[in-house]
Amino acid sequence: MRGFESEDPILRLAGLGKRFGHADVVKDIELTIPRGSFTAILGPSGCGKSTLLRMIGGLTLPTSGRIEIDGEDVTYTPPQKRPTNTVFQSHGLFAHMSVHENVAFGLSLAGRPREEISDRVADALKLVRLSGFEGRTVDRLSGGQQQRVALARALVMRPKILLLDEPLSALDLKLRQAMQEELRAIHLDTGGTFIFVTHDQAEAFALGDRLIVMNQGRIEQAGPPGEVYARPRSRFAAEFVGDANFLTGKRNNGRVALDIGVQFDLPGPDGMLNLMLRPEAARLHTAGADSREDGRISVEGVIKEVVDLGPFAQCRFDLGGGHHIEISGIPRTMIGEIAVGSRVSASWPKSALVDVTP
Amino acid sequence: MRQFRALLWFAVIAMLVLFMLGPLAIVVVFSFNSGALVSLPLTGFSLDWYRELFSSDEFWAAFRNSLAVAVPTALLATVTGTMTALALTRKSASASVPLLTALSVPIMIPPLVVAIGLVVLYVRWLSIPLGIGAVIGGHLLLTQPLVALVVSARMASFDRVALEAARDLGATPWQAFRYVTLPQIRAALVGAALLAFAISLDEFIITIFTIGSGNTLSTFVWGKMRTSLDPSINAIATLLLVVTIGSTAIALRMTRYRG
Repeated sequence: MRGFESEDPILRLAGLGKRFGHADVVKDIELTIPRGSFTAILGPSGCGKSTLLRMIGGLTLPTSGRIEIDGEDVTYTPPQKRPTNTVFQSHGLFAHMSVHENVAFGLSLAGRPREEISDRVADALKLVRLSGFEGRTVDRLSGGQQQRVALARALVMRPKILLLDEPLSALDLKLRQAMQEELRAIHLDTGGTFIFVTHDQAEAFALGDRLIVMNQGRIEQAGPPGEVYARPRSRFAAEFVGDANFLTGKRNNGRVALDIGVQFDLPGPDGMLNLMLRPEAARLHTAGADSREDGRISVEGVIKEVVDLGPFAQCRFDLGGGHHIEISGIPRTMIGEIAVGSRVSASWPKSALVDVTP
Repeated sequence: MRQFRALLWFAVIAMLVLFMLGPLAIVVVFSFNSGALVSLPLTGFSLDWYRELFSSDEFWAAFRNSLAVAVPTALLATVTGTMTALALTRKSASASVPLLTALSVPIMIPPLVVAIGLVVLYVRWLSIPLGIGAVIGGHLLLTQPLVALVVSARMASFDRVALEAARDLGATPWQAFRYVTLPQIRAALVGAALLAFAISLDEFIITIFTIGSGNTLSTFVWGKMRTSLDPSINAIATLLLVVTIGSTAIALRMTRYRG
């Protein structure tokens, strides 16, 4: 995995913002994207992720800041002169043209020779596994095939950056998974830089080698997906990339007292504290197994609800005093031992707690 | 009973057809009849009325004027109406619907009022001489909103993302219009242009108020009806019928319109 501050950035955004009327849709974005990376921009609808992508592609003009692609300032360059191409959520295929004409559109506008166009169109269609579909009209294609024509139409231009705006959200689950696999393969094949916008965290993790979490027009956190998952910097990021338990408490002189009645040492500033715990980081201990290992935090509680998910189970664990946590990733072999209402202990390593205090 | 109802329906429909198409048939039939009166019995096949028409300088002058008005009207209305429709599609519905309605006011108020207003405007305020140009101006008022309505209706189902995709793939705004928008709305444009042409060709009230001197086909026919009701009027009507049906058929074929 590449480091986040790359030596060779293809894209640099500085203080980028977009204001519609009185609403700041995108606020003061600072970001560099390394060449050859596959970046997923993840956020809820209305967080400004699509607007950010449109500004990179030149389809929306920013109201402040700067966009550099490959060292060149393109902030106010019109879309037709940018080395970017976009795959749109609703495809935007040319309904009056055949598959071949759709894919050839950009190259013929650029005035490439006829042989080059047909070679490159054939290559692009082969890449998206649509060889032999050249003569079809696009309205005779299935949703997945249309999606792949849109992809080929953008890829054939060999953009420095390929922008994908929720391209898979219109597809059903099976097709989506197949397309995710294809996208990964195409990214490896072409070695291009892909930026992918999605509201689906599973998709972001499946595709991206870098993750940017956006909220209310700002970047909440950016980094490798695993790092964002394991060390979220805010409650929002923690919840948006997965399930999370939050444990509130106070810290005084490096001694933490959680509201669930546990105390341990954790250096840091005094004051209120909000710690995040992933449900799969906690472990249940049945039959009085020793849970007081070094560096583990142990609690007593009552099993409230067990959901059998097939490979694993998850449960709601009542800690008393109105506090409870979710514990997941419980192995099948334990399901018989954790009856609802039974009193057991649970533990987790201190290192699994992530400080998300605002 | 059922048979009787079917028969009744057939009779009603037959009478409707007869009532609507009958006058057309009479016009066509009598334009080829040798007698000078439009009455039965038919006196024999003849092209005399066409011969008389084609040898009349007045007819050719009116014909030229009609074309000189209808062709520019159709072209200008199509261009400005399309530009109006394209501009309106960028606005929200709450803005575009009132604008389109405001633009359509000239079709909704009586042509007589429009005609009087135009004459006052031309003569008193703008000092534009009455004539062909003044007629074109008046006809634009009637035809441009129709073109805008037709094109707007077509644009409602147009995929605007395709335009962005075109820009993204290297097209200038003009190229995006030329290669993506235009091919998809071409049929609507040809239809709208023909509609404007047909409306302009037989428009009478605005024409007679603003033409000053000279005739178009509609004012020529009107003048002839006031002086002599001879069958050469039938010949003109038949010609107009052929031109309208013929051009529509050609347009439908050109635009590959099916159904």
